[in-house]
Amino acid sequence: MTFIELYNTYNKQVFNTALHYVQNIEDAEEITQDVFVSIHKSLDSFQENAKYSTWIHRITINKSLDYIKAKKAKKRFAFITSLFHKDEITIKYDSINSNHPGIIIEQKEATDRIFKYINQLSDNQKTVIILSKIEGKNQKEIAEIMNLTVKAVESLLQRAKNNLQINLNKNEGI
Amino acid sequence: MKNQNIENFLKPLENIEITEPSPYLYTRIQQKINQVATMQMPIKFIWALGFTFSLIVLINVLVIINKSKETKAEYNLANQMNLLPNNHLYSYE
Repeated sequence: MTFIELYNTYNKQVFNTALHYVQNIEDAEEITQDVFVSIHKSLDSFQENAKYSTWIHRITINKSLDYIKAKKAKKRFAFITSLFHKDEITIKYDSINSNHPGIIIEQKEATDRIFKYINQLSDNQKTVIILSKIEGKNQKEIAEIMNLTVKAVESLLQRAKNNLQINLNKNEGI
Repeated sequence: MKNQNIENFLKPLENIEITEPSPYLYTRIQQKINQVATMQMPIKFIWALGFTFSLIVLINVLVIINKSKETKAEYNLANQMNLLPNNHLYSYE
């Protein structure tokens, strides 16, 4: 498969997965760019026995998590510098509400609330929720993408749900 | 019951629609790929740089080893001939 064919087949998948992680069009496009640059770089070394979609999914997840970490670090840095430079009070990279174009307007408030809690989960738990609940993947597919056993995915999903429940109880008493 | 609660809570996620990225995204990716390609140093240059650096380090190490050998030999010769190994004419002890 050539690079352009890969782009045409998987650009939507990459963009939407990134969007589920960052809930923001600009950031998702930035991640999509990084993913395809990475694919272009390592396309020659790709082993045909793996599936393209699984490989691209893995790259997208890793890039999205890296992007979020880098953004958090930038935010911390901006906060620290704002302590020393009183005139630069505005902290960039902060978004309270999401800008996810896939969310239906009537459900925006509810979905924003869910993402607020999902964003508090660990990387693996967040990934398993995104893949199963938003992308509708079954546990076998998730296991393949995350390079885990089906059992491990099952327990990860359960732990993610438990943590969501704990955080909900703590904040909203549900 | 708990699981049912959380399943209901997560239900709106199933209605998230698939969206299209910007039509200009491919052009931007191409631009980024070209940028990365021009930013990368040619492999020959990297090897030459590494070779030069290791050569400099090797020369420095050899010079230091030789110098310490020379000073030892000079010191021994001065000792044998009862000469002072330094430029001071008087001992302050």
